[in-house]
Formats: sequence, structure tokens, C-alpha cells
Amino acid sequence: MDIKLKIWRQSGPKQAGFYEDHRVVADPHMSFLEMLDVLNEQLLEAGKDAVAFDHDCREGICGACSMVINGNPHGPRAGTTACQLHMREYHDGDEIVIEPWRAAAFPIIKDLVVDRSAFDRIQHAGGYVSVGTGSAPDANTIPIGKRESDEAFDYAACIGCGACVAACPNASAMLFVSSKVAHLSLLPQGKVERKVRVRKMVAAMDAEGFGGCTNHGECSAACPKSISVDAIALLNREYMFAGLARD
Amino acid sequence: MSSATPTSAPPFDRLVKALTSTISLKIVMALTGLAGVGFILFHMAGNLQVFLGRDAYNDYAEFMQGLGALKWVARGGLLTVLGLHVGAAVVLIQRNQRARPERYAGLEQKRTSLAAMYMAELGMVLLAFIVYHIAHFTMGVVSIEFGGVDYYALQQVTEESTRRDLYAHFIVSFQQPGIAITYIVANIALAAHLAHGVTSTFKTAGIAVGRWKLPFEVAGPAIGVIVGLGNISMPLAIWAGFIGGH
Repeated sequence: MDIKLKIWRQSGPKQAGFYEDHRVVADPHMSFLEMLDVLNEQLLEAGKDAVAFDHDCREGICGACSMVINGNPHGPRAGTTACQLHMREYHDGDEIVIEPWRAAAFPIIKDLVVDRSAFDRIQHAGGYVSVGTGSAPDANTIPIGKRESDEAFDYAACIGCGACVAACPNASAMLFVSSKVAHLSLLPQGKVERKVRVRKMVAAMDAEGFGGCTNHGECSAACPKSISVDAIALLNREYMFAGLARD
Repeated sequence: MSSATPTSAPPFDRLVKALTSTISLKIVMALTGLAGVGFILFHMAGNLQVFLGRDAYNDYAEFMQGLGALKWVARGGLLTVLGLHVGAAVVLIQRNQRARPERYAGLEQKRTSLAAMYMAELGMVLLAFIVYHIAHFTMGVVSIEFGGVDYYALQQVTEESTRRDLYAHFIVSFQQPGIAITYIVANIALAAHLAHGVTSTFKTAGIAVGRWKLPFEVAGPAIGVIVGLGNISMPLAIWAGFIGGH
């Protein structure tokens, strides 16, 4: 299948970017990233600069791949990362526009690669449990309700890819932050620091320059783990209850 | 102690930071919005008495005008609520715009609504309308003279008393197509603003989750439709000659 590509090229963080047209002959069984690998082989053979894009596990669990494909972060399939998208979704002759995540807090490093260390700094601010938990406890020594454990697990599914920020009309990181806050505050080990955690993580989120939630729900639609926007309501509730608790 | 010891920010700075965080400002939007919705419903219920005729409407107007100090407390409260709502919105919108300086070639919207996408624009329409509405009915500086009669100063003379005839001003105003259309357009904007705003309020409050999600998702559009239809019914009924006809 013959695919026309329009890809964002930007040689460095300070350089101006532009869209570049390419053609690739792809196999329907290829993953989207394999199609880009083919493009890069072509570019390298021609002595040109390969398109830089983030990728790691290529099995949908690491959160490295990050590109907006025809206006959809991670492409058109719900609950699917870009690496798990396959060329069979497309038809011969299709034009595909590929852009990086666009947010002030995610500055572009090169082409489609953005710096997502803002997420790391938010996580460092409070997205952890600092009580001494020792080695892994025996199963079922701390009883946790089925509903709580299911809910915590749903929020823990966040892979920190940043698609929520990319999809949000306000470039808000609240689905990411709320997933971390909700997952930890629902479990007994995380409850100890819940007040301090939510205050610190929200302060870190604001300091990074992300926008605010205006309840569009686009984050959840783009999330490759289909995390519910309910997380954001839970974050708001946690934040209100935390009030002005001291550090 | 070494210089690496982290020093806590002064309490006042921390308070300011906590009160101006994104979520705190969203809570301000929600609370002031809710107060606004309460006022809008009350205002609509009061005005719908126009359907009961001149005496009923002027009785209500006379009662409201006669509240004295309480009236000014309410007005001050409403102005404060509006000021906080607009002020928080301006700060949040600026942050949102700064958060995405570079636009996408195209970003597909999957779940959001037109109302949600244009909340700020709708808010600006409403703000302009509020200024006109107060200048029109409260202060009587625009749209008061029709056919050489100053309807703002017009009195209703009854056997017991002489009082302002707000009913006449109300009716004659909406008999003018331009004024009727202005109010209808403003109320369509209000309905859309409430449709997204009311639902958002309960999401911000952290209530609209789980089994409460659907009822609150319906509540916003429902209140928007009720307020829109209720308010628009008045200019339409007057314009059509259904009430106040000669």
C-alpha cells in the first residue's frame, strides 16, 4: 500500500518546524512504527536525516511512543498506543499527518520527540509511598475491597505517555495527575500521605505550565489505557479535602 | 544546619499559592457559577409573572424595589459573584492559552461539545448582555423611550397608590424586534453556557462520578433548556401579541 505522509520536522528545540511530505510503500501487517522505520531506512539510504520519534517496548505498555496521527494522539483506535496501531487501519493512497504532542510543558526536542520530564517532576513531587513497606507482603494480609482494588488498578494503568495532555484543548495534565493521585489514595499504603501528596502534585502540575481541566473529556477519549475522566473529579475532591494541610 | 535545608515558604505566600492553584480557581468558578444559576432561576421565576398580567407583575416589582438595604446587599453580592467568576475565568483562560502556544494542524474532537469549546466566548456575550440588560431595565439609560413616552418613568396609577409601571416598560421593550432578538440571542448563549457549566460544576466538586455521573451530565443541559425556554418565552409571547396585546 502506497501511503503519503506529512510529518512535522524540527531539527532542534529552538529551530522552526515545518511539515515535510514523504511517500512510503507499507505492508498492511506492519505496525505504524514499523512503517516509520521503513521511511527512516529510505531517508538514511538517501543520505537524509531520519525522523526522530520516541519508542521503546512497542507492545503498548511503556508509554514512550507519542505522536498525533491525523489529529488523534496515538491514532484513531480507542485504547491503543501508536505502536499497537497497524497499517491495516489505512487504505492505499491515504495521506497521514503526523505531529508531536503540542504543549508548552512538553517542549519539542527533535521532530516528533518531546521532553516529558515534566511528568517525572510531578511524580517526584508526591506520586509515591514513602512509608517503610518492607518486602512484598503475603497476599491478602491487608484486606482491600474488591471495588477499591479494581478502581485503583484502573487508575494505576496510566503509562504516563502524555496523550491526555496532547488531546486536551487546554493542554491540561489533570488526567495524568488524577490517575496517580486516585490510584495511590485508594489503597491503604497510599492513604497515609494523601493530603500532602495531592497538594504537592497539583502545585508541581501548575508550576510546569499545564492548562486546567474544562471537562471536555478529550483526555479520556485519547488515553491508550481508557482511563475515565472520573479520575479528575476524584482529584478535585482529594484536593478540597486536603485543604491547607501542612507539609 | 546546612544551606541545603529546605525552607518552607512564608504562610501568606503558601495561602496565595493554594488559593490560586488551577483546582482552587476551578472551585471558585463552580461555586460562583452555582450562585449565578440560583439567581438566574429566581430571576426567571420572578419575571415569568409577566404572564399573570400588569398588577401581578407590578406587585412583584414593587416588593423587590421596596427591599431597601437588602436589595443593595443582594446587588453587592451578585456583583462580587460575577467579579470572581469572570476574574477566575480570565486567569484560567490565560493559563490554558499559555499551555498550548503552538496549534495542531488539526486536532480531532471526540467527546466535547460546542458549548464546552466556546465557554469563554459565550461568557463574553453574556457579560456584554448583562451590561445592556442592567442599563435597560435597572438603570433606565437605554431603550426606555418609545413613541415619545419615557417608559422608565411611567407610573401605574391605581385607586390605592401610584407606582412605577415596569410591566409597561417590559411589554413595550419586547414589542421592538431588535430588543426581542437581542434578548433571545443572549438567552440561547446563556442556555449553552449553563448546559456545560452546570455539569462541569459538579465534576469540579467531585460529585459527578460513578452512579451520580449520568444524572449530573443530564442536569446541565436540562437546566440550560429550562432557563433558555423560560426566558425566551417572554419576548416571544410579547412579540407575538400573546401578552400585552392592545
